[in-house]
Amino acid sequence: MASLLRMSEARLDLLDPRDVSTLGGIELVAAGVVEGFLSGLHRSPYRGFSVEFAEHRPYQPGDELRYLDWKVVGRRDRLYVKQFEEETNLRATIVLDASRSMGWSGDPERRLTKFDYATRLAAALALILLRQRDATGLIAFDDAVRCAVPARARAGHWRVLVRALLDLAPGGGTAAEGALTRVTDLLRRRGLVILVSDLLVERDLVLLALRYLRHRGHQVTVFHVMDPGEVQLDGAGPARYVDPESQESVVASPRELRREYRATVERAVAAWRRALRSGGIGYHRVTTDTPFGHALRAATAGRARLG
Amino acid sequence: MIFLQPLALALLAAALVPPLLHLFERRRPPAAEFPAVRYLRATEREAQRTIRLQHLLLLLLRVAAVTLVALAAARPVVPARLGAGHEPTALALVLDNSLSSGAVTGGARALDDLAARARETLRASRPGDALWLIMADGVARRGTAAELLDVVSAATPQPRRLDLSAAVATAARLVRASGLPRGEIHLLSDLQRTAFGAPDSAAAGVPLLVYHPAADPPPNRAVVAAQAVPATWTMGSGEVAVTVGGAPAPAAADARVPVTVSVGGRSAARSLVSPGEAAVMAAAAPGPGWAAGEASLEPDELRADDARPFAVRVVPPALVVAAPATGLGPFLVEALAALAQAGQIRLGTGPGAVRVGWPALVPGAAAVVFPPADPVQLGSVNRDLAAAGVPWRFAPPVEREDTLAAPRIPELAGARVLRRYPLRPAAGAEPAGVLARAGDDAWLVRWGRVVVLGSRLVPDETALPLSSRFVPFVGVLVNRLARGEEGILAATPGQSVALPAGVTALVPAAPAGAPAPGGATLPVAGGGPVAAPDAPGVYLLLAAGDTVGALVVATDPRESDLRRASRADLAALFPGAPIEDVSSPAAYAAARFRGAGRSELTGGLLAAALVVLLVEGLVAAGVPARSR
Repeated sequence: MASLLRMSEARLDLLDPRDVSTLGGIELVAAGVVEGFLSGLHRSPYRGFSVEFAEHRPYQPGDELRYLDWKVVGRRDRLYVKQFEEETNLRATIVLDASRSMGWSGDPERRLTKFDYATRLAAALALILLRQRDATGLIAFDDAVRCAVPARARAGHWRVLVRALLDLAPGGGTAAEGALTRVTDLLRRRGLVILVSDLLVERDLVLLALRYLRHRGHQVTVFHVMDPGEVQLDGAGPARYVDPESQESVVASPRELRREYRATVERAVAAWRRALRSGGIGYHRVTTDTPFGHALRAATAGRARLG
Repeated sequence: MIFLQPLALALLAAALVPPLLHLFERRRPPAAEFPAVRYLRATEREAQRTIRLQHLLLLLLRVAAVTLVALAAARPVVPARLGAGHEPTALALVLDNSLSSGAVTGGARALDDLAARARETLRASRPGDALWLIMADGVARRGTAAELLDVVSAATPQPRRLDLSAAVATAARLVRASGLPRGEIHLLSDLQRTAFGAPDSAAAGVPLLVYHPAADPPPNRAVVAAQAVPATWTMGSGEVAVTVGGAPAPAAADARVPVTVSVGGRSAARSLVSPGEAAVMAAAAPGPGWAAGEASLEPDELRADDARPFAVRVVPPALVVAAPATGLGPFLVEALAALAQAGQIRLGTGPGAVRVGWPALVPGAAAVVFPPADPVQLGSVNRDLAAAGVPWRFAPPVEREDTLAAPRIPELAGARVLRRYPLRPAAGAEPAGVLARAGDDAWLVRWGRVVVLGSRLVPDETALPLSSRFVPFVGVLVNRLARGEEGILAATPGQSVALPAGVTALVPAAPAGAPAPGGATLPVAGGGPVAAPDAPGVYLLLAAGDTVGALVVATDPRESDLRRASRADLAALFPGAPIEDVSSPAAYAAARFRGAGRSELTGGLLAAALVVLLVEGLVAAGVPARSR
């Protein structure tokens, strides 16, 4: 209990995701993470994206230095950062991969599954967007669209989204290309599309769908969620590794393949990053042991670059 | 290839374990859910060739390691030329550094060649070998190669004779008792024919590698005997009997050789002597007392036997009183007369005279006492002996023919005794001073300067008066024995010799007979066997400060015959022994340890297994992959 109290006083966005998840459900965790995150940024991380200058405020630790107004600093010998007001409301949709592979954790005792991590990250993103009065929706899919919550900006919509997330569970195979085609039909108005997935899909087809979205004028960002056990092959002796979705299997010895496997994963990640960014799509790889705040900060930085 | 522990070959079955484990691992690995199988499959597809090679290499390495260990446990042995060494071997080296090994051929001593071979063999030995070295002293030295190398390097020709038959028999016993499965005897010798004894099967079954110098032995002349005749010179001069022997060149076999005799350090005679004959040469002594002499030849290839020492005692003629001679017979009287006529004794009375017959014994006076002709007088004579303090008594006569045994009185050798009065020590007295025995009975004893005989010197009681040695014997009686002297003993270097009781020291004699200045006194315990000194020469016997005799140490004449034993001789001398006879260093090196025949590979196999396991560890750890 004492440790829980100590955690509740800390910034949850910087703590281990597994530890944070022990505090409560998605709603509580996401709210706590966003509170911590925003206290670091002071205000919406999406300020600066399609907004105009509003006022100055004193600099606080955690503020990005690029928002410092150096002219004011020169005149008054004090640090001030610029704040911006929204110009237009954004229409954002979080597209969540709910395939069976997302339900895997390499170390269930110490790490969240990819799906649990993704739902909490999605809830946190939705809360941030909604606080900016951006209309935010949710589409979850595995081999089909499992749920679709239209984008709204009204009060209480976040709880609708959270409830939808709570109702989700990792299911069947991943046929993201089909689901994303459906998403393109659902997203008729231009906006922000955030795909949260482990990307264990047919890469070319998914790329095609994402580029199509981009072609339609959407801002697209991809969160590539990976378990550390997928990045670094653990274990020593040989084992038969079975894909939970396709049931394909391969016998391999981690001791023999560890180095080569790591290189293969790095190549695959690099290929995703290269292919997506070349199409104007943001790409962020996060592992399930990455504090939520770091993931949100990476996304914010990416948004800024895109903006 | 053979295996010392063939049952251990069953461990080879363990070589199947790695392939079985490999197959088992490949067929039944545990299943694990893993979403990123696509990455894993791609990885395996790319590394498949490398992994298969690595697996095959690991499998082969593990099978090889198990096989090597199993083979090592079976202790394989192969022909020695294939191995790094030889199987642990019991090796007895017989290095003949006897007198003959000093013979020079082609400018080098035979021993130099033999010692070089011995050193090669010791250096070729391995720590697991059991090594012995037997040399001319007959001692079997057990030691490490380094210790024996030191001994061999310090070896010089010794004046001793080495009985090669006995040495080989000793070596065979040591090799057999070693407990090692392999054994060899190396006989490094000039292989004198005279160095062997009777055929001996003690070495049967033990490989005998014989090495001898390739060159034929040189011709050799030697003084094989030199002796003063008689041993005591009473006229200041006498004769020296010299015999020349050896093995001369066939063309010079009958050629007479010049011999020089010196007495007391001065040249006394020169003569040409025919080989094999005893030449008697007249010589003069420089003065009374003990004198050391030497008979020598011109130097040849074996110097150690070109000179031979002898000793002579020069004394004034004894003054003899012939006591009432009734019953002593005419022979003794005639002998005394002959000795007197020859100047060997003087007849008459006076201080220090030797009383011969049945004299009234005078305490401290020299006397020669015979048994009475009439047994009735036995008690009277015994009372006279008792009155004079002589602890010997005549026992009742015995009529039995016996041969006299008198080691220190050559004149009595082989003489027959027909009737005797056994001499028995008086009650409570020690039986000391026995000079000759007839059967088990004392026949000639001495107490101080009183000499007692068990028979009268008449043909009815002994055949001695009828032999040519009778007069010399009577001379010995009065000139030596009655003077309390022991005479001259002879021995070869190191030979066991029985010294008279009372002798306490041996002193090397100078040519003039006095103890040699600076000569080392050798303390001895007389009355028992003593090893003669190694250095040839004349040694004075000291008893209570007086010189009572001399010991002449001279080389064994058999060492002078350098003729070599043939291969057939060796086969006959060592029946049952596998003999290899070589005369070249290369042939000897090739034959060396061939008896052991094989070399154990255990150590090499274990080392190879260790290397294989090391490589296996590196491969398993993926070192080759990382190095790419």
